[in-house]
Amino acid sequence: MTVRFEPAGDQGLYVRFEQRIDPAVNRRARRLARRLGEAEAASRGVREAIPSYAAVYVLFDPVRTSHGEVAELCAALLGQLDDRPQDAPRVYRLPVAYGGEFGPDLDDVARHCGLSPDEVVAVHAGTDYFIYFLGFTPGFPFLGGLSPRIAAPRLPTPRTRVPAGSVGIAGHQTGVYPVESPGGWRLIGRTPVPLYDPRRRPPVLLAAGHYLRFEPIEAAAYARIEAECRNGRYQIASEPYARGDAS
Amino acid sequence: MIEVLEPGLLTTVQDLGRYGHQRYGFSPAGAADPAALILGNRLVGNDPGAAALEITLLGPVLRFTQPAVIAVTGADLGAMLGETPVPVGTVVAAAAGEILRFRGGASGCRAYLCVAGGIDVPPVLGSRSTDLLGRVGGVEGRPLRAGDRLPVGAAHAAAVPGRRLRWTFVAEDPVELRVVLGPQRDHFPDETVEVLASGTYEVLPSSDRTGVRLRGPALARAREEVLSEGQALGAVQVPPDGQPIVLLAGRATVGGYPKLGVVVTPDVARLAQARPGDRVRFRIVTPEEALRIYRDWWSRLHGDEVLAAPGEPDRPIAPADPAPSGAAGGPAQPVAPGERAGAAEGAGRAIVRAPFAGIFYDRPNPQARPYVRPGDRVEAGATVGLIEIMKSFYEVTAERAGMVRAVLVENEQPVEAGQPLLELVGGVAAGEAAEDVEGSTRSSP
Repeated sequence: MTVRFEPAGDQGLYVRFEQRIDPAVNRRARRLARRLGEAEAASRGVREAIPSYAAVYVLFDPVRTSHGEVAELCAALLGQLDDRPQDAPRVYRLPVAYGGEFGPDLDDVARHCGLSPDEVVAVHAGTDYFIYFLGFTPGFPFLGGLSPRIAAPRLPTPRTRVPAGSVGIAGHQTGVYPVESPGGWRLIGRTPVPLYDPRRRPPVLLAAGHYLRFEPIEAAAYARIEAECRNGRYQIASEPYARGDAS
Repeated sequence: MIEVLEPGLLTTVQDLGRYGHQRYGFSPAGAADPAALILGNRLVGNDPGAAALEITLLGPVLRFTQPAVIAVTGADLGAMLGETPVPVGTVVAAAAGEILRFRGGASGCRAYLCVAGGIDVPPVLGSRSTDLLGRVGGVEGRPLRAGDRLPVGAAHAAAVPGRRLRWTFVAEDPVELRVVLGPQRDHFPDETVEVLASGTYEVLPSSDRTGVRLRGPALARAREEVLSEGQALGAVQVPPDGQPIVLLAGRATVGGYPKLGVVVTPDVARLAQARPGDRVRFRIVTPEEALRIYRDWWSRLHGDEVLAAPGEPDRPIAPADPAPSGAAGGPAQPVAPGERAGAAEGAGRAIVRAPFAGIFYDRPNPQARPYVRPGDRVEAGATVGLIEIMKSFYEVTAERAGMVRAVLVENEQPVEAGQPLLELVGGVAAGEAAEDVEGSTRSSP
């Protein structure tokens, strides 16, 4: 598998794998990032590693080390990675209200894709999405497996505010905004379940290496589940991931 | 305890950031101008990364319920303790009940209020910084509100009222940002790199802690979307409209707009002081140069030269930033006391000399009158000129009172270290031998 090391400014290095959304590529990125979070890397000046689909951004202390030394460390760690699949992934089932006030860009996405809004919803909710990594805001899952039939580009200029729980599409990616934030994704629905709750331990609901499925609900169910979440009574459903290659 | 009477435009608790949790989506946050935070903390005797208040443009109104030792660094936003102006970069003591407010300033964007003992809100995941995106840390993950009460920690080192910084941050126009090309350099045609290196960009009002939004020559992209990946501080992000966004401390951990380059950390700190309407330009540097720039900056921030104790005779220091490559003359060499040329020429006469090489200005700005003219009487400590070096301005002051007999250099004249600038007479006690007076340098408020 090809790897490139790219300096970023004065305190970063990108380890870049083949740029595609692929669980096997992502597994290497996540596992490299995990090794970079351990004591050996810290002792050599690595402060943090952020895994993503097909890359790891490595933050290092420029006083103690350099781009070149960090690249050498990463190359050594890559040579030691275990490529076996992960055991026992789960599928989290997330209720989502689609369209209308919950998804202001659903009609645009449907038009762009040559489908009806209902067809977009059926395609979107018909897949178990692999959770490649978390990022952007606490607990935000980056998902893979979006059907090319409903891929749509980001907004030309990002919105400065996207409501919490919004479900969006950008290019060939789909995801959920855990908190209100700026964003350039096309919004097609919203979930009432908080994916990040600072009162909860752990505060982040999802984990990379597992799966997420969206289940369409009506506005009335949205309000009911939202109330249950506020009262701390809602439990997200999940089941073992049954088919195909695990992460 | 510090009581918030009015919150100001955007005031948040910040330290040097929350690291180790970006992989779960926790933005590092932290001070947008970490240099100002570090210097302020050092002034009041805190650990360099202690939590402080980051103040944006229009400052808060705060009351100290107990005596506190404080310093304000970064932009001069018109800090007032009671009826007394608080000079930027100087330690002052606030009495119990005293009120700190900000009248506003003409330039710069962010000031830091550092208190001996630090702002003692509960840390979250190892940091007191406020992540406004994730609503984490500081005071409930949000900006300060009227009615907030901020605990102050116990001071653990002797803070010295009157201690001051030896240099100041001066608003620049345009701000020059040194940038390393990448990580998506190959998503852009070569012409775009030329546009970046030659264009002038204006800071837009929609800028915030997540990033500075710029308007200027569009940066054309060769390819469309990229996969979301980790984002560096200072990344030059290019949306489809070609108008770049330079990411600051409050950025999201990952993003999918291509990044043409990453600005070096010291210049991100300077960019954090740009206000809407200010202009920026970019200069491309190599990764190796970027490392050197960072290391020099970091060592100066933590070195001894930046602080002067009250009453300590001023001595010249090396400039704040290393010389940009190709700058004439390179970094100034400090003048050691034994190297000053010229003996006293007679009782009562004193020569003010340049403490290091730079450009001498006889007035605060081109439209103003000169600080002094021959025949003027000056007090001890009065500013008699400026020396510009590496985009910073040092106030040259008279160490003794006297009368200006002659100004020996022209406005905007390059001067060498040790070069005579002014001649003063009088103000020397009878019987005391006149001696050369090293022009003292003092941070300008």
